[in-house]
Amino acid sequence: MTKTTPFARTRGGILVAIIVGGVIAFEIRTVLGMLFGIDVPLTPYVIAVLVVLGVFAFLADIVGQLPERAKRGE
Amino acid sequence: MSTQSGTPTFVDRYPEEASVVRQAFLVSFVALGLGALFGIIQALHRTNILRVIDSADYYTVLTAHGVLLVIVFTIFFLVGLYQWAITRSLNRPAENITFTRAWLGLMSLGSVLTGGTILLGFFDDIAVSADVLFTFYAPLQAHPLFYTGLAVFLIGTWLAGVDWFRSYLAWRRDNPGERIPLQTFMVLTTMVMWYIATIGVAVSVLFFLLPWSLGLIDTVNPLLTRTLFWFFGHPVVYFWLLPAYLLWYTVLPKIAGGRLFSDPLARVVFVLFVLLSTPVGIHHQYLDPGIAEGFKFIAMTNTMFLLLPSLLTAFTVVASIEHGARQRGGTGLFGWLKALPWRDPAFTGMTLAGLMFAAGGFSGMINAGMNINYLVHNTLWVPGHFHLTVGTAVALTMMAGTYWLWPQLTNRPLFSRPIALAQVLIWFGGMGLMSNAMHVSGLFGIPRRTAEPQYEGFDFVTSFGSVSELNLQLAIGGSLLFVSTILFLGNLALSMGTPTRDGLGQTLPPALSGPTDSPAVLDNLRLWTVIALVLVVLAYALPLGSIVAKGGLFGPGGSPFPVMIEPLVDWTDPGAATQIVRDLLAVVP
Repeated sequence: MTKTTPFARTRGGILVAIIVGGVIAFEIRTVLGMLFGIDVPLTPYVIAVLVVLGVFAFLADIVGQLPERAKRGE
Repeated sequence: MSTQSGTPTFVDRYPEEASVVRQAFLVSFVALGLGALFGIIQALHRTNILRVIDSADYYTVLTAHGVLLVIVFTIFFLVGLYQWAITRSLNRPAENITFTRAWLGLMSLGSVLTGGTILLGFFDDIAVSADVLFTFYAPLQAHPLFYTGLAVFLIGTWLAGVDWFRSYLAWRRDNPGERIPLQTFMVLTTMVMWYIATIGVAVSVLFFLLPWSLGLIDTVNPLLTRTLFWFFGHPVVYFWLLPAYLLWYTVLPKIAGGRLFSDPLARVVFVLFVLLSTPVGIHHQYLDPGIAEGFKFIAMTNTMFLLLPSLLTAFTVVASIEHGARQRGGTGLFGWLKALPWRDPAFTGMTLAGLMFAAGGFSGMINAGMNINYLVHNTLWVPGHFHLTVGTAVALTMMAGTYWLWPQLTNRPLFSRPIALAQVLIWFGGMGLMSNAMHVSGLFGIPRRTAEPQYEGFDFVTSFGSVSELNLQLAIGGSLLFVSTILFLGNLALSMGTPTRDGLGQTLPPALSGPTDSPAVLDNLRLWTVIALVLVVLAYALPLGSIVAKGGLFGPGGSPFPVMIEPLVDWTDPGAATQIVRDLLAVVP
């Protein structure tokens, strides 16, 4: 394989975690609707999931960089 | 992905075999592209998002989608992968490369005949069509060329098995007393299962469907052809799955940085598939009248036993990955997950495929349960299930495995690793959307296999959301899958133009617990074959006997109401046996 860098910067599989987390979050809406009868409107739910995952990715990236920064003395 | 400079690649060592593997993969990927095109057409059509075909052509599209993907794409990939695996693991070239090319040629010829007959269905001026779906049993009838192509294709796969057994026997002569190498063991057990499973479809095609489509016989017994199809139709899903298992067991641990946790467990799993794959097919026929409930119950019980090899696989593969992660410095209860090579598309693709296979297994248990199956039978739930299993566990593993294998077949690096990573992630996300929508739609009773699921004047009851929302979700998911397929094929096509280089060779490390830790009886293929045949006879002799006794060997079929225990008595009636002989004599010229 080529040794070019990935299309997005990932740390510890953050990108994969976001995709998997997104799918699981989407399934949770199904569970809420079909098992508990809680009808969650699609658009605000998806936006909320994206925001939460985005914050998670941002924080995970920051936290993941801390050891490297500490090594560099930043 | 690490490479060991100086390690020769597969193409360096076995150029002719590598050529065969590449050709098989190329046929496979052409079918993948066509199948994906038909997939997006039907996904957008039935959701009424975009209609580029007439609804009258929907079944041509559906048949082409099914046959091209689950027959041509998967099985050509399988023969390519298995040719690589047996050559590599036995460390010897094919016994006769002309024979090897011959069976690949036969399979290709059969695929062209069958695929071409399906596609001719688009042309009204030509009286050739095969809109019979992948489940090609009566009463739907295809043009004789469709069945002829299938027969030629099947013979090709049988000869492939003969070729691999020849290689094994030649190796055995040179290596008496040694344990069968794991990859070879996987190839041989898969083929034993395939030989047993294809008895049903071969009988169905050669003795009933082909003579019927040629006009040699007037009628067939639809229930008999359905039962013979499912005799083959369930084990064929393991024929798709076992190449993925081979990659999960023998390649994935290496990519993860470790070694296979247990070679003996892997052998047990493949033996269990030999034993249990075939005597379960009747679980696809829970709603068929004419098969006694007791036989369906036996099929359900056998099916539930099949969870065992799947759960063993989940344990072994995850343990192997964890070992790899810890070798890479991973620590903690779950912290080792962070040490895995998530940027490697081969690793990420196979791992996500395995994750989705777990979800597919859960929905499969619903399908296999006799009572709860009635809720989802023939609804969109079922395609939702098998798009998780064959559509992701198998297809995504095959694509991810290609990213690892292709450089060793060509000495050319992959064109773009980032695109490959994006491709597997898009597939996972797209399937998450599409399969979820299909499962939920199925629970609402929305049928599968129809261009017009919203019947006039009928509203599906919804507990949350709406059908239009589910349709949109399905269409978005299907579109993402199509984009992912294009990325895969484009990346691979561009990889054919990258310059060759050294250092792409890979080796596969031995298992942590090797073959000598397992009893030698595991390698006794004769024993497992005999037991598997006995189980098949136990599961199928009585149901088939009663179907023939009640509905006639050549029709017209059984009564359209459920039967209980009566056929158990009826088919032993001498009068019924006499009638079967009369039916046979009637069709003999």
